[in-house]
Parts: sequence; structure tokens; C-alpha cells
Amino acid sequence: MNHTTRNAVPPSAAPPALELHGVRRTFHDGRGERVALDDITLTVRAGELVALTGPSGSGKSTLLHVSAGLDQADTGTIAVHGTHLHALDNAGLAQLRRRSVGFVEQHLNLLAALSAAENVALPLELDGRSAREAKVEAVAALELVGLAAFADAFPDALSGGEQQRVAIARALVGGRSLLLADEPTGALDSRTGEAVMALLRARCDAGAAAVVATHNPAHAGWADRVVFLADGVIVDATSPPPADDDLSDLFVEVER
Amino acid sequence: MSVRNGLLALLAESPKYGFQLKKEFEDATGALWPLNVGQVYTTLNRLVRDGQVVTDSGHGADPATNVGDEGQKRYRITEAGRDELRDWFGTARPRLAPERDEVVIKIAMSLRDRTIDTLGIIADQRRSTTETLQRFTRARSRGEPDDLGRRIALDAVVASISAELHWLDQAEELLTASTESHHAAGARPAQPPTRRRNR
Ligand SMILES: Nc1ncnc2c1ncn2[C@@H]1O[C@H](COP(=O)(O)OP(=O)(O)O)[C@@H](O)[C@H]1O
Ligand SMILES: [Mg+2]
Repeated sequence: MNHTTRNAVPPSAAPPALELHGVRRTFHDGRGERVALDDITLTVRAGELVALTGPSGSGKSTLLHVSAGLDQADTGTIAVHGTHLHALDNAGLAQLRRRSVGFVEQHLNLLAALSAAENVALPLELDGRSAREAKVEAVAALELVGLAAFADAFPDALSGGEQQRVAIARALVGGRSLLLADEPTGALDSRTGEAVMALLRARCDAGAAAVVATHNPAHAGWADRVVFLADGVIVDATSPPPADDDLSDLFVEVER
Repeated sequence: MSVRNGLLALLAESPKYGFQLKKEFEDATGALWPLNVGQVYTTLNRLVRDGQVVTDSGHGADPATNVGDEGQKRYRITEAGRDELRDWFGTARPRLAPERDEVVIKIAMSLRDRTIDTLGIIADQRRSTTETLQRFTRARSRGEPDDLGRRIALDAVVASISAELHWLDQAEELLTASTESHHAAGARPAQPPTRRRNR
């Protein structure tokens, strides 16, 4: 299998959506040092959906958190669309997060007092956009996830899958192009989980980049590349399917 | 039995030609299991032999369906065929032990030889199986969204591949735990240190 990426994104000079190089993160607890990430190097390009999989405690969440600038690496570099996170002060980091990086938490965490559209608009308003403008963009983001009709609904009136899609809309709003999702299907039944993966797939096919932590192989199957973590180390990764894969060899003649 | 009963189910709808049965069988199950023509005719001949199907002569090719040349046989289900089909639909298939699985055998055999890196075999298999899963997931998302037969057939494949991946994870955990308890007991490592994770 060759290494052509599936999406026919022209090999432009644009920097990767996410680039980690030699990233290490350790935690210290009562018993000493715990290496959560050890020398992680990973590049994710626009259009790519990467699944991050591995046993619990292998470092998936930590990898996503340092990529979003929500946590700091001890050593190594992390760049989002070519901007090095360590070169940013707190305000710069917050701005990059609001404008370029969408984070979907493991647990549904919409604000119950706000409607779907208000939840989605919140990061834009925090970024200083007018309420009206933010609302327009929020409805557009809800449309991307198929929930435009639910803009004025409150979270408790939505199903788990719908709430997760609102969380994805909130991560995408304002044209943010890097999505980091920490087990976004963990709380969902399998059908709804599949729908969420299909949605992430569609956003990547439309040019976003995403890294999704999951321990469900069927959900990881939606990715271009599956990266296997164990004890903070990338131990393996699948090759992206070749662009011209017609899949015909998957279908074999019945013998009996 | 699946081809035999599948053909009976298609013939229960109306009399059909061999090539037509091949196509309809494949369409019904999302083309997941292409049938070769020889297979279709062998099975039809057995059904005829067993009295479950009879042939119409080609002269009677149905003008309404507009298929079949003169001389081509058209097949028709009999009452005995309908009985067998009813039995098939009406009886759960016992879930027997799965067929011999080469990966299971490979991993079991590797445990007997200390020079073989079982954890490496598991890792290679996991990568390869995951790549297959990615390809089937793509194939499934390409189908017509309302082709329920295809969707169900491909879901079955995705579910069984996922099950293999879960099992590989379990095997790895089991092996790692047993290697560690050997270490703790001061025994020689059951696995060579190559490709060991930094646990
Ligand atoms: N805030 C923290 N304090 C101490 N240890 C942590 C913290 N966050 C993560 N860890 C440790 O880092 C390792 C990786 O954790 P995590 O990234 O949450 O893994 P995963 O998401 O794959 O389950 C684990 O050993 C965990 O205990
Ligand atoms: Mg986690």
C-alpha cells in the first residue's frame, strides 16, 4: 500500500494543520514521575482524519490537550497551521484556540441555560464578535451538522447524539479548521456514534483536519490513519488508503 | 446452505434464469459475496435433483421479463422448495464455533517457541486488520444510503473485524500480564525483548 493521501488536496505550501515534534509530557505524583507522552512526532494535514487509539492511560487525552494548548509539553514543539504554540503568550494562545482549534470534550458539556445556537455562538462572542454576527455563524455551523432546525432548542430537549453534534458545531464555528475530539462517541449508542464519525469524516472531506481519540475500532475505521498509542509512545500507525483504491478485492467469490 | 437457500428465496418471488439469479443474489447482499456462474448452476442442478426446483423450457421465455434466449433454462420453485425455504426462515441457525481461524492458530503456535515474538505478531496483525477495517468502512459509506441489504451485510463485516481487534487487544493484555508475572517470579522472559512496549 502506498502513502498517497486519500483527499486530493493539492500538495500546497500550506503548513500542516497540526505538527508535533518530539513532544514529551510528564506528570509527577506521590510515587514519582509518570511519562504521559514520550517523544511524540505526528503530522496531520488539512483534509485528514486521524484516529488515536490505545489502552486507557496511554496518553490520548494528554496528546489532544497539548495539541490544543490546553496543557503544556515539557519538551518538543507543537505547531497549529505553522504557528508554534510555545511562541504565543496566554492571550495569543487563547486567540488561536478560539479561531483555529475546536475541542470536543469526552463528556457532553453544553451549557444547559443556553440554546444550541447560543452554545455554539459563545466562543465567537468571547472573541469579541457581535451577538448578531455570532448568531449567524452559529446557525451556519449548526447547519453543517444537520441541526439548523434545532438552533433555539435547549440541550435537555436534545438526544445525546444531537448534543454531541452541537458540541461539534461549537468546535467548528467561525471556520475553525482543526478539530480535536476526545472520545466524542464514548457516551453515545453505536448508531449515534457512527453518525458522529460520519459527520467528522464529512468535515475532513470538506477540508478540515481532525484528530479523534477513540477506543472503538469501528469508529477508528472512519479515519485515514489510525495511530496506536501505548504508554505515551506511538507504537504503530496504519497507512492511509491509496487514492485509487477501488475496494474490489474486498469482495470475494463464495466457495460454497 | 446460504447459496442454496438464497436462490430458493429469489425463486419464491418468481421463476428466474441462472444469470438473473446470480445478479439478484449479489444485489440483495450488497455485492459482498459475488457468486460465480458455475456455482449458481451447480446449486440449481442440486435443487432440481432434490425436487425443490424444476426447469421451464426456454421456448417459454417470458415476454414480460424480456430476458433469456431460446434454449436458456428458467427455474421455478416447487412446493417442496417452498417448504425448505419456510424451514430456513423459521429456524435459528445454531451458532457453531467459528471456522478454524489462522490468526488464532498462528498466535497459539507462537507461544510454544520462545524465539518468536508473539507481541510483534499481534501488533502486525492489528495494523493489517485495522487497514482492512478502514477500507470496509469506506466501502460501506460509498453505497446507496437506502440499500438496507448492503448496509446490513457490510455492518456484519465491520462488526466481525472489530471483534478481531478487541480480541487482539485482549490477547496482548493477557500476554503482557503473564510475561510480567513471570518476571516477578524470576523466570526467564517468555518473550524476547524486541518490540516490547515500554511498559
Ligand atoms: N493531570 C494529571 N496528573 C497526573 N497524571 C496525569 C494527569 N493527566 C494524565 N495523567 C497520566 O498520564 C497518563 C496518560 O493519561 P491520559 O492522557 O489521560 O490517557 P488516555 O486518555 O489514553 O486514557 C496516565 O498515566 C495518567 O494517569
Ligand atoms: Mg482519555
